[in-house]
Amino acid sequence: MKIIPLLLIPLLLTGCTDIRRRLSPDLLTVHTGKSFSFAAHTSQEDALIAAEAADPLLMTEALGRAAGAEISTGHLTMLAVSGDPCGVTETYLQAQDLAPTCTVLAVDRNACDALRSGSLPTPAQIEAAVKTGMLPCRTADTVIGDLWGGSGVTALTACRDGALGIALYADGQCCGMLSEDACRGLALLSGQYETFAFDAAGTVFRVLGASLKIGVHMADKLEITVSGEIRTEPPLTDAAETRLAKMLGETFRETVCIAGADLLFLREAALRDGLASVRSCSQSAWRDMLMKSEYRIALPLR
Amino acid sequence: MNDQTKGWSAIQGAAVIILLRLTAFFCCDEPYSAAYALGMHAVAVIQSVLMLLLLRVRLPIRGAGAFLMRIYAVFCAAFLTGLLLRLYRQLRLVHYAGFAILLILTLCDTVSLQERAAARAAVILLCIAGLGFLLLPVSGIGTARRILLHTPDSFWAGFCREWRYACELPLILWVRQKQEPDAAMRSTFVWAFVRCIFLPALVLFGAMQNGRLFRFAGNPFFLLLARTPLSDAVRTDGLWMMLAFGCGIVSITFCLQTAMPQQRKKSRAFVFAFLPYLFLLGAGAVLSNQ
Repeated sequence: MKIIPLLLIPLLLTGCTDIRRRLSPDLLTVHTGKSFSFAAHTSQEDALIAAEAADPLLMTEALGRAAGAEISTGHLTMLAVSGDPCGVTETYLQAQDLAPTCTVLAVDRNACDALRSGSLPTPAQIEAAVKTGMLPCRTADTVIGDLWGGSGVTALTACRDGALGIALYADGQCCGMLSEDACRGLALLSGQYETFAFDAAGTVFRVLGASLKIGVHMADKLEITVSGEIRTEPPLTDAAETRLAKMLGETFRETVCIAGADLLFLREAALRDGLASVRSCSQSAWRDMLMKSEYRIALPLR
Repeated sequence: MNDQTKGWSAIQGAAVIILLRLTAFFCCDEPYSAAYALGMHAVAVIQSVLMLLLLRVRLPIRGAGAFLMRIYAVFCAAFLTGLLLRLYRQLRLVHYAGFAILLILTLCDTVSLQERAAARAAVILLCIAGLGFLLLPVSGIGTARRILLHTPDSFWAGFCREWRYACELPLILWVRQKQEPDAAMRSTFVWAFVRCIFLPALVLFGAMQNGRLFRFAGNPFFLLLARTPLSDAVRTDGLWMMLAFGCGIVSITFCLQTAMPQQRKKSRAFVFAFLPYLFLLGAGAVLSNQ
């Protein structure tokens, strides 16, 4: 069984690097302009490293030179970008500098300055908003997945004037911010919350479970229907149901009808429901179809 | 009969041929989709039926057949090595040249071992892989989305991809001649089950996890692992990395041992297998750089 110890050689070899000279940032900020500015926070030393480079892919080299150590982005928990967040996220995801589950944040002012001044929202704040159903979970994989496989429009967690929200991006440009109701509806449909509480007619309802189905059918135009059941504590009243329907409706109005975004696997739902023509249509054609579509929240939801 | 004289057991035979496909599976960079899984299943059914029918073929393979098998084994070893080196690059592991040199040195050593050592190592690795695969649904059950099975992709593209990566097919005949007929039949059934059911199911699971990232330039299996960490603190990428390279080394060892002619002078047989293998690797490296 001499072969077994030999199998350990690749593992030993991959470990043959001086980890004392390696820094793993937990926060990375990128500002895109004529050149690219980077700032990273490392939890090992609680220090900030800043650097500039002509290309986003030179980030690890530039930060490495500035820190005098090798930079590994394997433990990144948040990437905050000002300028072109979609382009930077896509570049880093393709180059495997970014874990797919890393949170991405779009910042309306220089993200590096925001990190330096301590005004950048922390990953814990974003996580808390996701867990309470205030925001949908928008990690690098979902952001880029919607860009590639949807209609070319994606949504990012955004920090605007210090407040967290969801911004829609198309062609590298911000094309709108979602209202609070739309954010909550998107969070409800995405289903990645731990607790989801809402107020209706003075009573606070807590969602215990939701099984919602999105159907996509073609008549004169695309028809999107949301149906299913939402269980709450206390049980849903008419007012609560109307409130939920409003949140869901706002989500579809703002993402689908206004921006033509496919954030809820609508193309896949259309294929499942037998709309074979969707398979071959281009992203722009699909976006046009979505913008002309109608949505309906099928009541009751209980 | 003692252990040395009797043939390979069913599990040893199955482990070796499954490991060949598993190595290619770990290194494959084609994105997962339901259509790919369906194409994979279709190919596997065709190949399984073919292999089960070929159970009637008279063995052992001799003369020109054995020579062709040796040539194929060298190609297969070079193909798997190329895939392994590409995986090493894709995973952005350090000291690439050092790894390549050590890999060759490791192979020089393992090829000189008894042929059955590769089969035994394959059984151990397959058991570890089996345990690892049990972890996957546990870690990914909450994030799997059934709607993603409808992600548009081509069945025929999946069909062709599977032919490209199913490199173990002729070598099954080579393994069979080391086995008793009953053991060979059982090995083929186990291999058919893994190919027809298990791997397509794994691709389906990956499709439900990886979602719309079908233009991702990296390895889809490691993307799946990155998207399904066991917990916030526990990741299993290291285990799978080790396993993938282990499977690769054992599979290449088996191929090179198959490529070695039966000669009294072991060093001559060694040269007959290694020279064309190294030539193919060098040619592959030159062609891929152009």
